[in-house]
Parts: sequence; structure tokens; C-alpha cells
Amino acid sequence: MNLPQAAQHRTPAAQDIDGEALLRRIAAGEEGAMAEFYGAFESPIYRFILSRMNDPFEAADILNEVMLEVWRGAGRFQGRSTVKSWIFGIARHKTIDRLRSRQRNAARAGEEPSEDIADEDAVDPTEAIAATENAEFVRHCLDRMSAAHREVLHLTFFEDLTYGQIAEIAGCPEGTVKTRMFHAKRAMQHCLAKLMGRRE
Amino acid sequence: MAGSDRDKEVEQLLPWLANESLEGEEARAADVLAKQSPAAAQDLEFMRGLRTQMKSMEAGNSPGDLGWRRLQQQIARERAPRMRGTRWQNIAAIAAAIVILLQAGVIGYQWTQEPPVIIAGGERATLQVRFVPTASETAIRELLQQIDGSIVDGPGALGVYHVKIEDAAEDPAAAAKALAALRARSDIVLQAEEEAP
Repeated sequence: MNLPQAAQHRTPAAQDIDGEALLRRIAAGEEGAMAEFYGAFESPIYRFILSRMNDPFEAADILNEVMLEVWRGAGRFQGRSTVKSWIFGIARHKTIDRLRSRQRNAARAGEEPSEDIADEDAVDPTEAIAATENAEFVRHCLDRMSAAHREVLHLTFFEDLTYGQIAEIAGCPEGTVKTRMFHAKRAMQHCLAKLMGRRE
Repeated sequence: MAGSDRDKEVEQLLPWLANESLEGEEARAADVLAKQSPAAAQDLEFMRGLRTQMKSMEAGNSPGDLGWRRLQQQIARERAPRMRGTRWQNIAAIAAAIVILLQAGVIGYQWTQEPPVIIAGGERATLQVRFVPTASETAIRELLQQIDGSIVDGPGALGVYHVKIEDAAEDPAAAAKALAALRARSDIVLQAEEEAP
């Protein structure tokens, strides 16, 4: 069976579908509903996982685990959050599990865990603004950030979620999301301004 | 940037003014702050620039159809034991009816039943695989799909991935078949070994 039409145009599909109705049909064992759900959420969930993992193979594997969990556990969806927050929350948990496993392996192999960019120094805001126009700079800085900082930036600026939705996904208070965003933004400004300074 | 506690609170909302998800009073307050405070305005400009750049960045290809086929296989596998169970239950019910007839003395010989075949389950073979550095992500995914394997860990410091063979619980030869299939693809696989238990 090929993916339904929804899979060919995933971004609008995730916003337009009736997620709760789909989950009910999936819980009843309807594979076609699962295909529709997969088509709608596969791409945003994959991008979200990739934003934390930086490894396309692992991201694909985690995506598969997430979708399998949806298939097995659709009946457990209680409607306390939106379907989008629910599935992003599952993806987040699975990604964190994998990152922990990776860190344990890295520790066994004697590798140093990656460190976040320091954000304590003041930066020239105009330099940071100019640097956002450089895709390589932005990618470089995102790659060097902690997974938590990449996550909040991704969910805010790529998925355009509200801080309330991000708090639901992360399972933390809204204030924590705002604080995390503050530090992520500072770290990004600092990193970009530094790169601009090096270029000049 | 912001002086009062209220301004600091509103300042924290600027990222969500930038992504256009703020509503009502919060949106109005953040908008006013950005108009009144040059620092807040710069902050907002920075975040809008960042958002535009992040949205235009290529995230790589998602697994798409390959990922769906992999999921379909897993769904089919999960359904299969249930269906097998139903078939065996039907057969068992028929057998039970026959036994009752036999016991009623319709036929006077003993009926013996072979012991049930027990399928070894619960164990999944894991292979250690190193891929050719230039092998494309799509080619690797297709190969993993072909052997019904999934990466469960890695890459380690030496680029070794740990690949679980899904069928190994039901088919004792699955790991050996997968290993042979991997080794046959020297264009994609540098090295493939069975992981020591």
C-alpha cells in the first residue's frame, strides 16, 4: 500500500486533519487511518527528532518507534492535550531515551559530552540580526547547542507552537519554557555574533 | 532591556510574538513593548530573522514511503500472532468437540495428541554493521528495510551501528540471512558481524 495523498503534502495535512477522529479509527485497528496519520505527522515529527539527535538514521528509527506506539496506544489518548502535543510528547520521550543511551555509550567510549554555548557575555544585537541571514552560521550555532535549547527554538520558530503547547510537550511549567527560550536565544545571539566577528 | 517586572514578563513573550502565536492581551502587550523599547524591537527583529532562516533550512529527507512500509510490516507482524491465535483457537474448539464425541464411545480407540510446537521467542538477534561512508541514507534505509532490521544503537566511535533483526524471534535463520544480505552489498556495507550474546 502506498501512502495516501496526504503523505505527499505533509505540512498542511498535519494542521488540517481531525487527529482525534483518526486516533479513534486507529484504536479500532484501521490501518488506513494509521496511513493517514503517518502521512500527516511523519515529516514534522522526523524534523523535530532530527533537531535533537543530529543523526538521520537514529531519527528515522525513533520516528518508527513513535508511530508504532501510536498504532499500539491510540486508544490511550485521553484528549487532555491536542493530538499534536501528544505525539510530539511521545517523540520527545523517545528521543531523550535514545540520547541517554547514547551518552552512556559515549561515557563508556571515553568521549566528552557536547557542551552548550556559553551565553553570559553581552552581544552586539545588530551583528546577531545580520548573522541570521547566513544559513551556515545559523546551522553551525544550532548544531553546537544543547538538545534542550535546540528543541525550544525548533518548536517555537519552525513549528510555530505556543509556549503552552511546548510546555505540554516538554512536560514542564510554562515559565520553564520561557526561561529556556531566553537562554537559548542568548546562546544563539552570542554564537552568531562571534561568527560575524570572526568574519570581519 | 526591560525595567519593571511587568516589562520583563512581557519581554519573555517576544519569541511567540515573532512566531505569531500570541493572542489577545499578551499579543497587545508584547506589541506595545516592541514599539516602545528599541532593545525589545531589536530582539524581535533578531527572532523574526532567526525564524525565517530556520524555516528555510533543509532538514533532510524524512523516511517517507520507506518508513511507512517498515511500519506496515511491523503492524502486520503484530497482527499475525493474533490471527494465528484465532485460527488455532478454532481448530482447538473443533478438536475438543471431536474428543467429546470420542469419549461418548462412538469410536473405541484412544486418541493421542502430539505435543504443541513451541516457537522460541523473545530473543532478537543484533548485528554490528559499519556502512561505507559515501553510501546514501536512502540506500542504507532500503537495505535495512530489505533485511527487516532497525538500528537500535550507534554509531559508536568507530562508526559501528547495532542493527536488530525483527524476524529473529520467529525465524532462527533470519539473522544469518540478514548477515549474508548485508555482506553481499559491499557498495553499502563495510563490515557486518553478528553481535556476541
